Parts: sequence; structure tokens; C-alpha cells
Amino acid sequence: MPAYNEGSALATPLAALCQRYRHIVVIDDGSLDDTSAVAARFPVCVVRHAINLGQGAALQTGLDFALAEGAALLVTFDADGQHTVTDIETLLAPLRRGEVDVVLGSRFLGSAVGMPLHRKLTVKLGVLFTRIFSRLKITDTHNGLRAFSRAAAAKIAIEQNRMAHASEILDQVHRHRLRYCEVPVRIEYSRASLAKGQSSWAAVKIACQFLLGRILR
Amino acid sequence: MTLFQRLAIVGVVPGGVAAEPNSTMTLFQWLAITFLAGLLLLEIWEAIRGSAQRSVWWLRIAVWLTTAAAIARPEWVTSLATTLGIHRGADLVTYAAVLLLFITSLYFYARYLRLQHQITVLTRRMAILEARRPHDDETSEQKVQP
Repeated sequence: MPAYNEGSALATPLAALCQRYRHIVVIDDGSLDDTSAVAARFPVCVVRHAINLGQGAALQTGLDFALAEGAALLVTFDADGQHTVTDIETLLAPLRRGEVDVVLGSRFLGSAVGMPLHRKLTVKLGVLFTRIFSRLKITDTHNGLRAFSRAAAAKIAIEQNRMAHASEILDQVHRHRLRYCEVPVRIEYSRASLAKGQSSWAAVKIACQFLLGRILR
Repeated sequence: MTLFQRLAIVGVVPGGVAAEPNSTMTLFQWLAITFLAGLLLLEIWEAIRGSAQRSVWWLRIAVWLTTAAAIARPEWVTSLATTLGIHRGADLVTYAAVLLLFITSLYFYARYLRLQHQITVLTRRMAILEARRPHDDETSEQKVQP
């Protein structure tokens, strides 16, 4: 669970996660607030970046840490409380059956409560972008709810520190020929999560970062 | 002679007749070429000391020599521009400068990405080494559910 300045929102999703799961890793991405202190009140591992690097870097840190601790299945989950804990089992089911290597959550197969129209259009454009550049037939992109098998997580190497990591992960799923599927998930937008979310202009910046990163890699 | 005629002769405004190559150099040419000669000597000194990177060294030598030649012999730039269909030497210099600026920006962006990657790796290594596990601290409010 990557978290940056989520001190006020973190307790609710963490409490729900701790009811069901034992191995939870919170990556505090150099927060300026009490994110680490809030996380430390729960029985979770807290990995803290000394400086803010971005969500992509935080996710890679979490994957590295979980792999080093011996995790067999890995799930990424946003810290702002917009994801539903019960969706994790839906994500893990195809992995446990050994059908795929990566499971992607899709709000368009499931539901997106309170999603503004402009956000919906931006994500749809992102899906189109992914279909063109990563050649993956998916219905959602930039959804923080994903699950990986251990072997798949070991192959993923996120180099895009900021928000372009979501496109990079999909690109690597295609490049490493990982088996993938989408499952329906529920995303509930709140005022706080919308305020922290990406603007439409940021989506253009993310696309540019992704393409430049690809060229200059 | 009007200002326009003077500018036309040196090629600042179109329609002028190319100036005859002058055997005597202007003050600007002397100053610029002296400066470039100094840079070349420094480059050679670095190469003798063995501290210069071979590939970049040759590139820098090529840039200094081309610049010196263009300043000493502006008519060469004009004839090159004519050959390329640009007509004016000043335009060729402008296009080359814009192109060089673009390439330099990309080069420094690539260096910035590499530096950022190094900082990320370092920060990640430190974070994982200093990770706090649940059993490290007994103040956790909630207990692990079986």
C-alpha cells in the first residue's frame, strides 16, 4: 500500500485490511504528515522513503520488500480508501487457480461510484493509449488494485517513479508475455480521493513521461 | 552608404551581394578565435593528462574547430548554406543552434533520469534496511487476526 500524506485517510482502509490479512506493507513515500505514525498503530510493516519519490517508486519498493520477505502472491491497494477490501479475494482467485500471472482490477467491469465524467473520459483515453502502445486488450488503466504472482512480481521493474508507472506495468506485462486477466472491482470516489487524483492535464503529462521514458531508457 | 546597404553587404538583410573574403580579421574574430584556441589547448592538456573521456573529447574538439572555422571564414558557412538550399549563412547557424539546443536538452534529460534512478535505488535500499516490522514495536493497537 503506497501512501503519501494519507495520515487522515489511512486508518480506515488499514483497519479493514488488518481484519482479513496478516501481511500488509505500507510504503510511506516521504510523507510530511503523520502517515508513518498512523500506520505504526497497526500490525503492518512500514517502509519509509526518506524523500518523496512518487507512487511508482513506492510500489516498486513494496514489491521488492514483499518478495524479500517471501510473499507468494502480491496485491497493490491504494491508501486513500477508494478500494474495497473484499475485492482482494476476487483478484487472488485466478492467481490461486494458476490461470494467470497478473490480475488487473477494472472499475468498468465492476462499478465506479461517484466518478466524474471528465475522469471517466480521461481513463477511457488512457485505455486507448494502452491498447495502442502496450497492445493489451483491457477495459481499465491506472487502477491501483492489481495482483501479481511471485514470478510475475519478480519480473516487473518499475522505473517510472511518478504516475506513468501504471502504463509501464502494463507495458511490462506485454513485454514479459505475462498471462493476465481483468476482474470487476468497485471504486468509491470521495471528495478527498478526487482532490488527490490526477487532472486531465496530468494525464497528458503522464503519457509524455511514459513515452520519453521509453525512448530514453 | 546607407545602413540598409551596409547590412545587405554583410548579409543581415536579403538582396545583398556577398562580401569579398577579407584577408584581415576583425577584432571580434581575433577575440573569438583566441578564446577557442585557449579552449583547444585546455582540451589537449586534458587529453595528455588522460582525464578526458575519449568519445566526448573528439566531439568537443570537432565543435571548437568548426566554430573557429565558421568565425574565421564566414564565407564558408554561406557557401555551405547555399549548397544545402538555405541561402544565408546566418540562417544555417540559427537552425544548427536550435538543433543543438534540442539535442543538448535531451542529453541532459537523459542524465537527469539516470541521476533520479540512482537516488531512487539508494532511497529504496535505505527504506528496506530500516523497515519497521509489527514485532519491532509492541505498541500496535490491533492484534493480528489468525
